[in-house]
Amino acid sequence: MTTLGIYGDSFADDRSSWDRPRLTTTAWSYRLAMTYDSYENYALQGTSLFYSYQKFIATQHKWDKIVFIVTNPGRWPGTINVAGRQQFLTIHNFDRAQNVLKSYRDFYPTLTADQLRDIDAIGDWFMHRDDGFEFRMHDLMISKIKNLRPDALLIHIDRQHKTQPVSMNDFRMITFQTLVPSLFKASNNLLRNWQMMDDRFQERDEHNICHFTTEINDLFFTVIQQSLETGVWDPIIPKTWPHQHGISHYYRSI
Amino acid sequence: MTSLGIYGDGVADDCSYLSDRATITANAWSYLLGQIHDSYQNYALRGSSLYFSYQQFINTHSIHDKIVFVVTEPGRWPRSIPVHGKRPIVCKNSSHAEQILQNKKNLSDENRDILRTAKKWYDLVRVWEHELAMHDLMIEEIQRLRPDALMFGRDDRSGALPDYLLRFSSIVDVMIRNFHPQFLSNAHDSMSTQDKIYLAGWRERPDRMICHMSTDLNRLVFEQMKKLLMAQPIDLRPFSNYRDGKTWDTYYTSINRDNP
Repeated sequence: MTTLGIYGDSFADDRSSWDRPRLTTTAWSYRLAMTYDSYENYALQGTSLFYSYQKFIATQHKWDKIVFIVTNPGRWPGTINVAGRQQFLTIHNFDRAQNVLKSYRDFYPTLTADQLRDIDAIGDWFMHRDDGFEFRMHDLMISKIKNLRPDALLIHIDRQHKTQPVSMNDFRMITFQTLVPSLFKASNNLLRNWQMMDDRFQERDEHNICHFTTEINDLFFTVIQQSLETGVWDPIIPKTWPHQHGISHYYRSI
Repeated sequence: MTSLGIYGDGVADDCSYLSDRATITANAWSYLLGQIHDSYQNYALRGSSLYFSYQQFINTHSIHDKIVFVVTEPGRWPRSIPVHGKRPIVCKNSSHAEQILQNKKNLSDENRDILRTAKKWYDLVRVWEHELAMHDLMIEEIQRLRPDALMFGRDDRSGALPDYLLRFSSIVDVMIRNFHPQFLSNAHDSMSTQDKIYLAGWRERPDRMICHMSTDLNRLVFEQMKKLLMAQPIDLRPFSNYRDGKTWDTYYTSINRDNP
């Protein structure tokens, strides 16, 4: 009997939320889990590395194989309980705090005055936190995870250094390299990283899950299956990958 | 030639940079310990977070043969504000942030925003489980890098430190116990003994207290610390037998006449 534990943020979260029905069965994490005798996917969208780290410390001993998606440093480590909701509210950056404060009447009408005050304070924290502390604690958590489970596959959302193996966003970029190649021409200085991409394109929830199109979920599923067999995450990935539709099927232009 | 590096918060800071402590600095246990080494550097800063000391340690531990590290309590705001030519500004709790905002008139708008955020962080945003976990990870990293470092806790809340018996909170408490036991901190408190005393409106007398202790207690700590650095057994009896014939007012001054 082989068992699997998956940890991470939205890049591994296969659940639909109340306002965002998702393609759960096409998610790489769901498909991967289905190939094991038993599994648990602890990933939750918007959460910090600390959230996953806590889950990992408490549960890693239960699982033969572990996939840990390492979210970027600097997210607020807490979660907010929202009355009437099963899922936590997470505040992963300053913009998210501002958006919740602006639109809570439509999306989170049960938030209390105290919770709104807290979210405002979390927004301030994003502006004035100590980035050095965030990066250092991020590294210490990763070291601890590797120390406890050297066999775990750790995959970062973004490469912190050029020498790191491919990241989740490297996979996401394949869609754009395939469907909008003009963005990557040498003469076009527009888009080189995901942050720049994020400013121009918005995912269509109905055609993406784990921030990947169905086709990239297929690719990632195959790659991670192979990596779990070897125990090493160092895949060579294609620059392009066949997609059934054009870019507008998967993303809205902003 | 032996070189000593001392890291920590107010319990290790000899305050040699403060004019009102000029007459007492030489009585600090950390200062005395430095004097018996060929060279030493005291990086401790009162009110600082463990992350502040951790950073100092990461950058400098390799230049010292011996290390004494006083681990401050968990949960202090990690960001320090650099001040040209002076020690950086740190804030150890919400009321401390407020106090700095009120007293330091020449702060820039940016630094005022940082301190207001620090206050809100203490009051609303801090996630205690995160603070404890990061506290433990930093301690583990220090121990990994320098297994020879002598590490002392302010308290035993985190549980990550070796049980050296010599805990600074219990040493400082030796003084407080006889006067105002209600100020003593315990494992379930979110406030240290010093914070409780401070919030009750008492201030240490700068000419009588250093490292949050009387000069006599500093001498006792120095003697035991010296033995630890020489790998000799320590003797805790002087602490448990410690009786100070002086009064509370010898060491603390009230800023509020309503105090007991």
